[in-house]
Amino acid sequence: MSNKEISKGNGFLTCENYVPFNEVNIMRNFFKIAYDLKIPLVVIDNMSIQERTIFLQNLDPENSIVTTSQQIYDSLKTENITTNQLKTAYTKFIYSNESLKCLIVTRKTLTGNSIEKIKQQLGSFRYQYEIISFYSDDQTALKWAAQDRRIDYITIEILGNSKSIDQALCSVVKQKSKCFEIIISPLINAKSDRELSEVLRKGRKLMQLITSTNTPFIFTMKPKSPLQLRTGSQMRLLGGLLEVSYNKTKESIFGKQLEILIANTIKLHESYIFEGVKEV
Amino acid sequence: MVTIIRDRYVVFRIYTSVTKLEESFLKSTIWRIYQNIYGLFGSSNAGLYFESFDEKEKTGIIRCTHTSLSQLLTVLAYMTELKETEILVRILNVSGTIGKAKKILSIK
Repeated sequence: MSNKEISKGNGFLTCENYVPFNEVNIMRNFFKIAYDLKIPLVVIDNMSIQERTIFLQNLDPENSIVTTSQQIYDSLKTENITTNQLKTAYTKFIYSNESLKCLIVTRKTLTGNSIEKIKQQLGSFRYQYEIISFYSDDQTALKWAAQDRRIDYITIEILGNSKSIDQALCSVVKQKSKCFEIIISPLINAKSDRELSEVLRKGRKLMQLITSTNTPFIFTMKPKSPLQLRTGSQMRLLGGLLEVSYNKTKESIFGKQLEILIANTIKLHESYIFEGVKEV
Repeated sequence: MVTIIRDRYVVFRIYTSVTKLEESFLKSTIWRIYQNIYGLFGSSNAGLYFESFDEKEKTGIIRCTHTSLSQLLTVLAYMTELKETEILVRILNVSGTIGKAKKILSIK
């Protein structure tokens, strides 16, 4: 890692992928600090698209600090634009806009070991949330989830379900263009030296497996308070403690998340027509 | 072989809910965490020196060697508490000269 890159590193755009849904005042602090730290994508857990509309009215009626992916999509969409052109325009808009507001994104984390139950939940939740992730200890459920196209991420907690991740799962995840979402907050929240040592040991083992199979992954902090947010550069440096090189984590703080968000925003929009279906 | 050790100046700001932060606590916390993660040998090679710290503005400059820059930034990212108060350290810039670092601090 060059020093030039580190000094520029503060300017990286970042996505915080797992913010808990709280009261309006606490959320306002989250957005204020996220704006300062150049974190334009704030993904809020357990908040549906309908709930977000009400939340936005209470938080910021004039839309001065926050916006939604749908609003950007509507402003960019014209009649003659193709889906690929729209994706490129959306990405350019995010990277080139210097006074970018915080984008509020909705997400749901599904947990459980029963595949039947998850299938039922997915049917009702997929259209209510922009991002769907899955957390489980069970290897069969994880492999099924990796093959289901409605699920965007497979969540891994270093001290939780990292044991269930094996080479076969990594191959399926890579094959189906999914990615692992790794929560790195245990690194900074460890209560004792012994716990930190355990986190480092298990984390290194996990990251070694993921990087050796070239499986896509993203980092998230899962902050409980606004002061637990970290910039992209800081997340990449913390990833260095798990022996992942700085250069290998380039896409894991913003690029991958933005790509998934754009694809899902297009699919969830009312004007979207499924590929292969012709309008009569 | 001649090895040249160059200095780097890290300009930072601390976000916290308290109005004033004591410099001595900040210094001891950074040293403690550095030694915890990289050991005594690592911290002795880092060449840490606290150039300045404004207790009211909560901004400051730390000097280190260019080889240990990423380690210092990791330590700053790792910091979560200072005297049982939750904090967040934001890196404003990294500079090669003290003059430039002070200029950045005065602008921001």
